[in-house]
Amino acid sequence: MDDAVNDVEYLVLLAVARLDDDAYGVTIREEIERHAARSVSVAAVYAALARLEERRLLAHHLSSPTPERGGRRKKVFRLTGAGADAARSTRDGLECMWDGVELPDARRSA
Amino acid sequence: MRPPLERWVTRCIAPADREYIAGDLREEYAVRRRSDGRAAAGRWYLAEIAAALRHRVGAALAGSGGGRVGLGPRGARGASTLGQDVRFAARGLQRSPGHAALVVGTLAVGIGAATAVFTVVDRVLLRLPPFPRAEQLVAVWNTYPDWRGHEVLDPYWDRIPFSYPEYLDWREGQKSFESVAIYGWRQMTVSGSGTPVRLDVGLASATLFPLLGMEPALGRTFASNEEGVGAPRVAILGHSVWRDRFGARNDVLGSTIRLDGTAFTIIGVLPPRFRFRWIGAGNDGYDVWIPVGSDGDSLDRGSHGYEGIARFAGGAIPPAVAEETGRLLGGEGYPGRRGARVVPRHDEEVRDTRGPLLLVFAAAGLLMTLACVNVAALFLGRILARRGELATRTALGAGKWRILRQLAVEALVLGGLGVLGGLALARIGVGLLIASAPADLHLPAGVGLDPRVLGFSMALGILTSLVFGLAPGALLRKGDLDGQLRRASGRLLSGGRRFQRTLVGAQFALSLMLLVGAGLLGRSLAAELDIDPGFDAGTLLSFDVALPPDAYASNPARSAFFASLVERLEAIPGVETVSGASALPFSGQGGSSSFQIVGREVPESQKKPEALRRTVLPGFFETLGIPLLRGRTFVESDRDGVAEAVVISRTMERRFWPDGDALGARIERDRRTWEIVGVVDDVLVEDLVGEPKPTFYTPFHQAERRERLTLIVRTDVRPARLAPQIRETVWDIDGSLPVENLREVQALLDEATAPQRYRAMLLALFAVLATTLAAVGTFGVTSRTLVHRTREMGIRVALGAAPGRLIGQVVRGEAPALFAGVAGGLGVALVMSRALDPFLYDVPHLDPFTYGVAITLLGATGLSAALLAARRVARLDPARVLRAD
Repeated sequence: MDDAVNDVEYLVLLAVARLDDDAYGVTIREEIERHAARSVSVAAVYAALARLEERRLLAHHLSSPTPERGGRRKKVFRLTGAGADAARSTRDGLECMWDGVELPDARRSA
Repeated sequence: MRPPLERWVTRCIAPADREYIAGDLREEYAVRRRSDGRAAAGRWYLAEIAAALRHRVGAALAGSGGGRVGLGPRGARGASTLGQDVRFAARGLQRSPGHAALVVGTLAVGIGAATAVFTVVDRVLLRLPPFPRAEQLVAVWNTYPDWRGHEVLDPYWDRIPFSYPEYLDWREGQKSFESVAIYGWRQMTVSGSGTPVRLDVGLASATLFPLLGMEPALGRTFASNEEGVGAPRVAILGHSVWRDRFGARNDVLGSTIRLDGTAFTIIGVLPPRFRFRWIGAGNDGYDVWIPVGSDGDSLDRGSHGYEGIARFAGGAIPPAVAEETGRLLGGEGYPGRRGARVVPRHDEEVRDTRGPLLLVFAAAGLLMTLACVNVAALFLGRILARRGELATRTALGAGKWRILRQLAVEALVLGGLGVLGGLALARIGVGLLIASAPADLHLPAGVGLDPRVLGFSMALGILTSLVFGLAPGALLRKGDLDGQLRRASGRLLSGGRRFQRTLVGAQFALSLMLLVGAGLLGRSLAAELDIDPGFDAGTLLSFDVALPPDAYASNPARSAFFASLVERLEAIPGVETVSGASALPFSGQGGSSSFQIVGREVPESQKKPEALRRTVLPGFFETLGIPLLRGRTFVESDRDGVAEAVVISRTMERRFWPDGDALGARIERDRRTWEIVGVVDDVLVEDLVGEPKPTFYTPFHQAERRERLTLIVRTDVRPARLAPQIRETVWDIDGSLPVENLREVQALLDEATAPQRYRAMLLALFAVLATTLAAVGTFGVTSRTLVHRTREMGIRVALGAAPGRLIGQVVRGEAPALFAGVAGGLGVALVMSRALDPFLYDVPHLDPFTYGVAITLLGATGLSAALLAARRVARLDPARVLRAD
């Protein structure tokens, strides 16, 4: 599948989608941490962002500089149509996989 | 809120991505800092940077151009192969923990020793004291060319301090220096709250602090009219006295400190970094400063109590500068008989430290070289052992770069661990080096590892492992690696083995040099310890008591005090006898005096005879165990108002009364005439290795100065046990008196040989480490060689070869490298041991005994290591060896 994404990329895509107009490095990480309860390193987030953008699943613009960032601009991302499709198809694929799965009781198997 | 290292980190990010990534990092850092605190935020930041750099390094190694997006994305693939390499390296190390431990241990020992010693060398020899433009500071001495070659005075001829009038002449007349100053040193008793203590008090000319460029931390320094005769009683506190005795109070200015019973008004406090010492022996810094002249001591032309210091801005010091100073010092009285010596102050301060420290540095350098050679041999051995594995991996498609990279990663992992171990050892080592150093070396306390030195050691360790870890990669040329490896296998193996044996040989050469050095120093030390100092130091205790001039104003009062003290001390159970002297042998105190022999006066223009002078209490010779040769020693009745008596040493008699008719002769000194009543045996006083010097003793109770005395107590119990009672006894008589330097006399003697013991101990330590490394190297190399011959061995054992014969063969195979190494080392050691000559006493640097022992020891160690390795292989079960193939 051409538009398949790995799990960090999937999380990043969804975080960007949730964040609307405010998706940049810091908020994306926070969003993943808050909702997926996963801690992802800065480098991993940028790596995922760059790969997703390279595949045109994300696009970006630069914001105006702010003082708390030492006068630096943000790179704000938004989902492209292809990005939305990729997120959807990943979800569908995972749901199909879940269909009919019965897992053993977590405590007993441990 | 700027995160740590932000500037540096930002530079590592690719320019296109720099702005937004750095902005994100700063923003999140600020949030975390507000919520989790500075430390946690800093940790988070550095961890993120480390994670990002892993990506980046991975990307660079993967050849993807360093990661197109600065901290990230391209790295992923590179990181995964790098991760593979690291994991692979870790697995490899787990498979051969012996190899890993040897490399890491060897590097740690080498780096640890070199770093520790270099840290001390750097701090003591290379770094100037913390004064502005410290390179301009020079020490200035009077020189008396007449004294050269004199049996008593020669050691001092070019290091004579100034008197105050000489300083004034110098200051007025000199044109060479930017400014000049003098400073002296007294020990004075500080009284008031707490136990009375003797402080090291500096006497400064007003120019001293401006010359040094030293601003006080509080208050001011001395004004130009605050020196000389009748100088005001003002004082500047050193930082530690201010802290310890005055509670670091800011309002200390204007209050007083009582020194020897006199109040001095405090006008300033020095900053903590102020470190300055009297260059002559015995002083390691000053506690308090007062102006020259304010202690009431004589300031006449003959009182040479002040060392000279000056600031010379002109770079190298031309001889004309010393000539000018010498001319000013000579005055009219001594045409051509006075000179001056001007030398960089730092050189003068480290004069006695430089030689021993460089010697130890050289030894550490040899050890480090040996460690590098050992690591090289170990890596080479491992590569030879892994030909098969490398060939297999090449066959499976691994490229040449990939293999090189993996070798590099392995080398870096081991090198990194070795460096870490080395730094840990170095930290401990610096502490030990300084703690065990004798006081004469003036090593500063609290030396940490210097970042420059750290960087150097780390680079050295990593470079060593990288160079020797990758060297085998040079064998991989272009093209088909597998075929190459197979074709070159035989050549590689024999060439590699030859090189490996050369490396082992080199280790033995280096070890031999260290062993010979340690052996020579050890033999010399033993010879020194064998010398009889002329007195019996066992069960002797000594301490100093100084009487404040105001409370004990007259000589009879002082004599009465000491007489009563002796009487009370003798009443302590366990005390055999008690006496006292102006200076004990090896205490670093005491002086010499010129005299005239009545009836043989020399004219004014000629040098009068000179001898060491001591004033002693009755019972001195008996208490120290110095034999009386003729006449009598002093008795209680040798006191004021009775004819002056003097006892002379055997050398003094031989020198001035060669016919042995000294008894009854009279000498003249201090405008008084003294009759020789006894001759005693010689005692060594300064140096165990010197000849005894002519000495005369006069009764303390007839002396002109009786303010201070070193008391000696002979006990029949362990001397240290009596220390508390001795203090109590003194304070029973006068609670305001400090009891200083209470110690066993044996300790004074031990101190005299402390520098020698220090050198010998360090060299012995390095030699043992070196020999161990060489033995470990031999064992490692031999056993690895043999592992590849297990099959051959197995077949031969199966065919009935006796294990003993096999072992013999193996050892014979290793022996040539070993002996070549020893021979090479011997050649170098024979030439280089000459450098040890200044450190040796009674042992020639070509001492055959030392060389013999070193060679035997090293040969035995090397052969045992080879034997051990061979036995291990010969004990293998041949059937299993053959099956395993």
